[in-house]
Amino acid sequence: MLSSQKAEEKRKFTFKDLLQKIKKALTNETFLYIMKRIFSSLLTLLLVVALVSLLLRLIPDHQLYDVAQYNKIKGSNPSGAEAYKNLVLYRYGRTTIDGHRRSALFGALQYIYWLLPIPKKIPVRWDVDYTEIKLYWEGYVYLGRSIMFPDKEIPAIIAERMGISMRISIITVVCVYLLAYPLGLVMAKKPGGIVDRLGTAFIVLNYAIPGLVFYLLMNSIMGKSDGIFGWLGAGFFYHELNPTSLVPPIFCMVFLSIPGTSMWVRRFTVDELNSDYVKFAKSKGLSENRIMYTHVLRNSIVPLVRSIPGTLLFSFVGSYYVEKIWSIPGTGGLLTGALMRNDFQLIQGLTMIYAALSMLAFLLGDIITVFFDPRIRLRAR
Amino acid sequence: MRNLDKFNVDNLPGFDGGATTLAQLPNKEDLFTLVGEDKSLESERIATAPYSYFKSVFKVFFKNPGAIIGLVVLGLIVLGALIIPFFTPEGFLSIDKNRVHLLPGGPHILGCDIEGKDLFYAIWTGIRKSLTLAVVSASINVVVGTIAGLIWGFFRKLDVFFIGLYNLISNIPGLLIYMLLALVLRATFPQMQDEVRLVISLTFTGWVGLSQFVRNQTLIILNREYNLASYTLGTPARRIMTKNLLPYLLAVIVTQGSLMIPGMISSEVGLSFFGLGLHVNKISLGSLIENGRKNFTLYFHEFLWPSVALALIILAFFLIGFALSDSLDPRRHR
Repeated sequence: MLSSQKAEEKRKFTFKDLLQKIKKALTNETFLYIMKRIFSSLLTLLLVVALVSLLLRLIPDHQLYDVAQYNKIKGSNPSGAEAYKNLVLYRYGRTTIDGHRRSALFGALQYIYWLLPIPKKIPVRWDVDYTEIKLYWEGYVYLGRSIMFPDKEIPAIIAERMGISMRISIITVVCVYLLAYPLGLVMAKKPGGIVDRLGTAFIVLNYAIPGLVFYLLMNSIMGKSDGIFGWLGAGFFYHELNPTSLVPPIFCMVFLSIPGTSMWVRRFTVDELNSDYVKFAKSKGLSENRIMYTHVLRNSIVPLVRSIPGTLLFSFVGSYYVEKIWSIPGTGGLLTGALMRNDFQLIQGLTMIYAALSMLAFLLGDIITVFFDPRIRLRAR
Repeated sequence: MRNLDKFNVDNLPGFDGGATTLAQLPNKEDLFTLVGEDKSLESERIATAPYSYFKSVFKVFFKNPGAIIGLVVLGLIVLGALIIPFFTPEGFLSIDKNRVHLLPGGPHILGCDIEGKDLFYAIWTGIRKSLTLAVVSASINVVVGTIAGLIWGFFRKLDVFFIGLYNLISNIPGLLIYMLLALVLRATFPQMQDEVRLVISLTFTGWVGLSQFVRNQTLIILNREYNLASYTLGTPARRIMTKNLLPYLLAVIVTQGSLMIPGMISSEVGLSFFGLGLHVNKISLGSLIENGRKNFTLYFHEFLWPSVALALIILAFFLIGFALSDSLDPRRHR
């Protein structure tokens, strides 16, 4: 009897507890804040989509199809020329398949409809014979059809390119933090000392180097097979089977990103070292190292932690210059290529993914800061 | 009672455990002596020099060797860019097939570039164009950003609109905006001058970062008593913004502006690299570097000298900007 009573109590307790937990979670300030942020981010995302599609709409029609080709066909076959023009404009979403104009607003709304996670009817192939469009879609989120790669889905194209961009950038980010953080700390330990002066000179001179010029120089110096770095076997261009070909681009990016990070580390650490609690700790007789590594480091890291998710997530985007110079098949090169070839659906897909990533990065940065600094609380107003 | 006992002075660390009591202290007369009134003007003098914010700023600024190097380099470059292009010999900047890739020497101090333009005069002309473009774009950004930031900070009801706008713009990569705008403007207005197009692309979203910065500063200053007094006395918003807030913000804004100019020059070079900058025939640092890049393994000097010019300009602006931001900090004044 006793055991059954206990069991009943326990069951009652768990049910109530669950209800209370759900209630607590739903009214939790942090949870509400995050929900509010996600909602406003989605709203901003819709605005980004609308803005970019309206911007792209400003490009006049005659820039999209080949006017010379159109005139050439028109001489012998006027209806064929119209059909050619209509096919191109249909691909860009400017007209319907029958040649009726579509408004810019319709285009933006259609894109939002494509984004909704519901089964929907959309044209799947139009590059072979546009009179027979198959209207079906097995997935949920559709980003349109690319002009450059008509056979693939846009998310698949981007995911394929993101792999290499991400690999390079994550190595870069890790190297930058590993090198820049100690540099900033060493500089901050004795402000005005020799190390600090040398470090500041390095930072200022490094700022002055134009990135593009440095990349090109390093490409030619480190790529030469009979040069100083010939033993590396890096080559001038990225090659999948040659991992050392990644060394020059990563070196360049790390070298140019060190000053930004270490300058901030130095500034925050110096600010903390001047604060009252450090003076108190010193007067209590704590050793310099103990103050530095147990108290100052923890506090000076807080403003920097906020930017870490951003740096990591933006690494998916890749570097435009580096990817173009070393011909790395990453997302940065994809965007510039799409811009050059008027591949609007791909541009829009990339923009949306970039915007979503950056908003996610800001949100993650805010959440992580809470873990590092108990004074900060996220609260929905 | 026991708790109170614990707070006896004698139990506190640092005291001599109750060895000295009040009765054992020396007399008041032994401790102090009467000096009387000091009637000379000496007592009215302040030992330290009177403090003036801007004088201290200048003092700290000119003590910084980096600032002086930056000012000298920038002064020389600006002077050269203003004077040297006027002394360009006839036809040195025209396209000439006979002079393509001419090596340095003779009348052509730095040789000739891929189109046969004299490199020395082309660089100075290019510096003039790039600097003008950068200064014009940066000043438009600063003016628009300051006005928007003041309005954003002053009228809290506009927060929703401005934060939305800020999120919208800061979430799209900068280069994408530049490229999209260059593409759209080039296609929609084919007659537009390249310079105008470039300025529009550089200023379309460039002011947003500065306006957010100004807004944060405004919020800090707005809570001070003198602004509260102005507000309660019914001073119109425009007057508070221009007379109360702007003088305080001016110094910070100048620093931000001087750090913005090198970014604008770099953006111009970057846009040229992607084929979205000035037309190749128009001389600017971007187009010179882009032309030099084409065969820089063979004719390295054609790539080197415009890059050196670019690096020097960026260095000078950064040195001045850092020194300004250092000297504007009142904690460094004494």
